[in-house]
Amino acid sequence: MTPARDDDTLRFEALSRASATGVISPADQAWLDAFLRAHPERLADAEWDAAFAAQVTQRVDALPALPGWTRTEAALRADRLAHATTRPGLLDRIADWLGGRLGVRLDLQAIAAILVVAQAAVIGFAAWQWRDAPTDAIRSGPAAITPAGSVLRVSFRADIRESELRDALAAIGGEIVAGPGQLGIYHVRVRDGDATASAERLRGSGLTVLVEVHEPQP
Amino acid sequence: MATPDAGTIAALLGRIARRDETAFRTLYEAFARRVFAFLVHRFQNESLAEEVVSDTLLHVWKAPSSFRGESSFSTWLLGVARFKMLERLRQKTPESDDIDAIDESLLVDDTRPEDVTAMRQRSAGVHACLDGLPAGQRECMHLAYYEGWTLEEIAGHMGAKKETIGTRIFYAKKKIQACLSALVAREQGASGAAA
Repeated sequence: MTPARDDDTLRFEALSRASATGVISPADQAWLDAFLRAHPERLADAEWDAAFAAQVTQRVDALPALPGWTRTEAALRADRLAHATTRPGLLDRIADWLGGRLGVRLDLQAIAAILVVAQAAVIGFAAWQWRDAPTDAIRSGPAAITPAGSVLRVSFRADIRESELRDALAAIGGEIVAGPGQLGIYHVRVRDGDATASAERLRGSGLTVLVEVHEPQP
Repeated sequence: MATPDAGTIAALLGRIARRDETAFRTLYEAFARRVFAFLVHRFQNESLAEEVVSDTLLHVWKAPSSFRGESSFSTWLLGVARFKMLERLRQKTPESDDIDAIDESLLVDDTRPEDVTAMRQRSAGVHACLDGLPAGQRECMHLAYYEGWTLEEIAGHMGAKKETIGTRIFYAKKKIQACLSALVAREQGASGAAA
C-alpha cells in the first residue's frame, strides 16, 4: 500500500505527470498551478516529474528513427511479389468494390458473413413462398428427367436432312437421348409398348440404314 | 516526426488498405521509434524489440481494419506490440520480479531539491536506475512519463487495477530517487577519498 493520499494529492500527482509530458488541458494546468502556489512543498515533485520526463524523452530521441525497417522492407517486397502473382479472390474484389463505395474497407470475413446471411435470406424467402404448397410435392421435386420408355438404336442415311430427321422422330413420338456414336448410331426413346411399331415405321420411312430395338443389359 | 492526428491516421490506414506503400512508410516513420522505445524499455532486448516493431507494423499493413478506433491508434499499437513481444517470450522463463513488493524504507522520504538536481544532471545514472526497476514498473514509468497515459489507460493496457498502477509508479519513483542518491553518495565518497 502507498501512504494514504487525499483526492487533491492524487489529482496533483496525475496532473504533474501529465504536465511533464505536455498532455494536459489548460483547465487542468491552471488547477495544477494553483495547487503548487498553495502547496510549495510539492514543487520539487513537479520539477522531478518534468526532469524525469525530459530524461526519458532524451533517451527515446537517441534511438534509431526506423528500427526494423530493413526487415519490414523485405517483407513488403515479398508481399508485393506474392500479390502480383495471385489474382484477387472474389471476396477481395467485393471488398474493394464496397470499399470504393462506402469509403470503408470491410473485413473479408465480414463480407463472407454478409454473403452467407444474404444466401440464407434468399433460401428463407423461397421456403416462405412455398409455405402453402403440399409437402409431398415439395419433397418429390421436379419431374423425373428420365421417364420410362423403350429405346431404339437407329442409323439414319448419311444424306438425310435435319427437317426429315425431325419429322421422322415426330411421327413416332421419339426423342434422341444419346448419339450419334462413332458408327453414327442414335439412341431414340419411344413410349413403352410402341417400340416394335415405331421401329417398323422408321424402317418404312426410307430414311434409315438400321433400326433395332435396344435391349438394355441386365 | 510529429505524431499524426486521428484524421490523418484514418486517411493513412485507408490508403494502406489499398496497398499504398508510401502511406505505410509514413505511418512507420511516425510510430516505429515509439513502439521500439516502449519495447526496449519494457523488455530490455533491442534485437527482439526491432523484430517485434517490424511484426507490429506489418500487422497494420496486412490488416489495417483491425484498428477499430476504440482507443487512440498509439494505445492500440503499443498493445499489439506488447502482445507480440510476450508471445515471442512465452517460451522463456517468466519474469519473476515481484513488482508490487513493498520496501518500507521508501515510504518516508519526500522529494528533495537535490533529487531534482540529480535527476537533471545525471542522465546515465537515471537510465541505469530506470533499467534496474522491475519490468512492470519500467513499463508504467515509460507509459506515464513518455506516452503521457493516465493511470486508467495504463491499467487497461496492462490488465491491472488503476490503484495497482498508482502504487507501481509511486514506488518506481522512490526507487529511482534512492538509486540516484546512492549514486551521488558514492561519487562524493570517491572524490572525498581522492582529496
